[in-house]
Amino acid sequence: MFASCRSTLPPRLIGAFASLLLASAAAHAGVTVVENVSPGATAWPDTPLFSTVSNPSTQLIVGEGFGGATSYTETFTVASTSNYTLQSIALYVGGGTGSSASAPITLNLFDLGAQTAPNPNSYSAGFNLLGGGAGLPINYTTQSNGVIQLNFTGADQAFLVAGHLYAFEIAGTSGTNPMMWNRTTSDTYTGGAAYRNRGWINGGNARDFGMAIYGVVNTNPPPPTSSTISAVTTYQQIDGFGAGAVFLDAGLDPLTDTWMDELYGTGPNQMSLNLIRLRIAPTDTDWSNQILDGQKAVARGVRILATPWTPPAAMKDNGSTIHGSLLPSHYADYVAYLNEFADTMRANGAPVSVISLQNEPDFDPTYEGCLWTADQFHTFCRDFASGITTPVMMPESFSYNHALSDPTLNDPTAAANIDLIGGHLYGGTIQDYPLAHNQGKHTWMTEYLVNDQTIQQAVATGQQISDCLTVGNMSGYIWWKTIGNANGLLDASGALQRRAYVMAQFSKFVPPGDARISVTANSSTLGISAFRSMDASHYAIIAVNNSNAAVNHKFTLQGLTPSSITPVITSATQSLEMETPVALSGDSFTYSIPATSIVTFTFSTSSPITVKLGGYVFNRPTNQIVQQVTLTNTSSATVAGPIRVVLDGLSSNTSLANANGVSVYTPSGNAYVTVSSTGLAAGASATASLNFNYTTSGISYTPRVVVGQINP
Amino acid sequence: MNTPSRFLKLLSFGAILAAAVSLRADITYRVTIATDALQGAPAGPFYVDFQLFDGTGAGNANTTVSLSNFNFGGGSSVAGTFDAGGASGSLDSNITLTDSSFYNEFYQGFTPGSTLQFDLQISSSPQGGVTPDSFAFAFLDSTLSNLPTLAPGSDVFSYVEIGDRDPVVTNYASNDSIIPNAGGPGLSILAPSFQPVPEASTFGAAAAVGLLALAGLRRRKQVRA
Repeated sequence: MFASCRSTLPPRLIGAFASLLLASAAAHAGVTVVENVSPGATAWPDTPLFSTVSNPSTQLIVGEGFGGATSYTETFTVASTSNYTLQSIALYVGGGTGSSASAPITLNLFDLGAQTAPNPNSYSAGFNLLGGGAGLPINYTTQSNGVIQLNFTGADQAFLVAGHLYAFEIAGTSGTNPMMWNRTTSDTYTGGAAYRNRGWINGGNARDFGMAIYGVVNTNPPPPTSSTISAVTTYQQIDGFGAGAVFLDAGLDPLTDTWMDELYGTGPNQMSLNLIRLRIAPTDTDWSNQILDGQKAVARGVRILATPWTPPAAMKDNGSTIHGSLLPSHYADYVAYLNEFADTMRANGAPVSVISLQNEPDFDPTYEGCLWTADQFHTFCRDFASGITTPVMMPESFSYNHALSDPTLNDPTAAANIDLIGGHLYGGTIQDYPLAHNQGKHTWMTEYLVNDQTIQQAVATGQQISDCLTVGNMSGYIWWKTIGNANGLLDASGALQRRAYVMAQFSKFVPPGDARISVTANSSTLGISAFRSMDASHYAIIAVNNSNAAVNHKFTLQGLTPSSITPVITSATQSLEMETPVALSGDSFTYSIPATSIVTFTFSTSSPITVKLGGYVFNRPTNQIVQQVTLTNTSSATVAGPIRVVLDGLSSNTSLANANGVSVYTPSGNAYVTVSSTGLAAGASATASLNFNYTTSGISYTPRVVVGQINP
Repeated sequence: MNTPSRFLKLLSFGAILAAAVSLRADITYRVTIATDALQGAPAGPFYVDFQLFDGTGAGNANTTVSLSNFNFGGGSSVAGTFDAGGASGSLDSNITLTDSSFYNEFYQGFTPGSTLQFDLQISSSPQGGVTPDSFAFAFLDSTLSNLPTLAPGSDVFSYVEIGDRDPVVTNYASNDSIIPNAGGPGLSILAPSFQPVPEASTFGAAAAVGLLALAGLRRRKQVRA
């Protein structure tokens, strides 16, 4: 619900008018916008709880539109021992074209938990306290610089918890300018900071938007934080987690077996990572370390992403590995060069799983690099990428800028030649990419770094991974470096850093192929994600507490009844430490997530599907040996389809003649049949034939059930 | 209170168990199927086909199927047999299939009469593994292709699953909407019937133990009275 009105009434009358509006709309959630409250105001109307400046018109001298951004934010701290009910927020704004369907404005409010401003940079959105989680769209008509008042009603009068940091965000469409929000050019408010695209404006030297908060003391206890986990809805499948062996410091490359075991081993105190990013050097005589690192990786079941920082200098318009662009006349040569790298790796026992076209094609550094435009990518992918023999990733923008890949994905011919979308998060926003996901293209975050090895920043990485998976619907996350003192998962001596343990909270419990499932957070400052195995028998719930206070949280499991749940925690002092199992009380359990920590809850249930294999029968007309497989839903709920049976380890003396496909995830390449495309009601069964090509010797395999809209 | 002693309870239970185990380990059926539709059919000459698969694939020889007392209802067998794996015998006498190989098969030509009848005896020990042993019975046409039936995925008239429990028999009628591979019209044949045939020796032993137990109970009642 939204409204807008223009007024030249004095502020106190405005307040009375707003109260009337509130009274008349109290039964409904929403916001009422009152414009022109105080043109050129030198003070805020009435008495706010707190404000970012004392004199708006003189201190707020820079107007921010949405030219190159999708959101502007001011964080604020409830610096009080009292909790409050939010009533109004006043902003100092002016100019712009006014809101419209093509230039919308949406208000968001996020509880960032107990934080010390100006931290964090690059905040996580979490649950939106406005609009029932969807935000509140508003109408705004151009006014001269002055105050507009946003009066909240009903459930949108958010509960503000003492000591918590909140992010008040105005979201819009990049390239539009419906409204200019004015900010300072200095740090005028210590309880918060100004953000653009959810990252600090002007780095750690805080700026502040013009904002004042109005509310009344609320003596009720804060609403409990809770979330509901449901496996009914599945989202993307996970491809993995890893780090790069790229531009490592002297003496650290190639990686040793000990380091590889620490990061990629699956034993105790090993991190179970499963992706590694290697650099395709621009000269083919400089690939020896990549081969050695790749061999060690593949020997541990790790998949390789190979990324070039630049094509060979001779293929570029400036004849250099630094700056410049790939010449269109060398597009075919570049395909051959990428294939040569993949062939070399394969011949040396280190096959590449994914090959990227370019690292950060929208960044022009003073070291190896190469610029690509969206049109150049489109042309290359449409006309040449089909010649690349390895699955292709593009564009690996430094800021996850979708504009670089949109033209390629919008052209079916070009899109058919690429397999994955990669991107980095330097200044970019974690966002969904429906254009890619709707075409079955997985998205990976392939590089990010912070030169900070503290637990606070390590947990912030956990929050970033959580956001990539839940907000961005990504399937892979790759940290910048495997090893290095400044930002490696191992320091230069090979000691595991906090961030490695944080990443292992995902990688040890969410193997490739697991599917993300639904987490509905009613109210939470935690970053929560949840996953299930392909047969819906193993589950992981991961809760990141990126604040400096413990959060007591209630997890409700919908349709899942494990006998016990095992928490595993990483914090400043704990490293993947297994805690005492907790029992389900009814359909939920409550757990206190310590400050600055990450907790993974794991549990198993019986697979809802049982498998019964029939005997073999030889059918002469088809020269096939036929076996019936019957699946039964033994649970009390419907299991959504499709439901498939994968034949793992099928003996080599036969093959499945009626396979519907082969498995993508490890163990990969195994034939499967779809037994039910629509799913099974509780207690229902479905039968399918397995038609084996004729053999006189024994047939052996292990049936594996895969349920839901995921790849086996 | 007039209750049987613990010993007699156990004795009675033992008799029932002995009977069940006997049935599990050694069970006989009389199989009957109408064959008049085959008489003079262009898809002939026809063959009777029996298959036995070892579910483990190893050929563990823990299941034996014996076929005997063949009656062709006015028809007759035709000389010449085919056997593979652990199959041997003749329609003129007895046929034995043992799962000493993964794949064990026997077939032989016959001239159809009005019905085909034979006794089928299954002897097996616990299977182990997830795939049961399986026995199947089919008719082949002159091209050695199965006559079409309504069995899912394969054209057999009888399918017997031999797992850790009693054999499970499933019978199917022919599918006369499909022309045999050898040509001619579709053939309409009802599903065969499987009638359990209690074996005299086994049944007698089990019954004797049970009667002994009952007699004991009766005698105990009389003493107490």
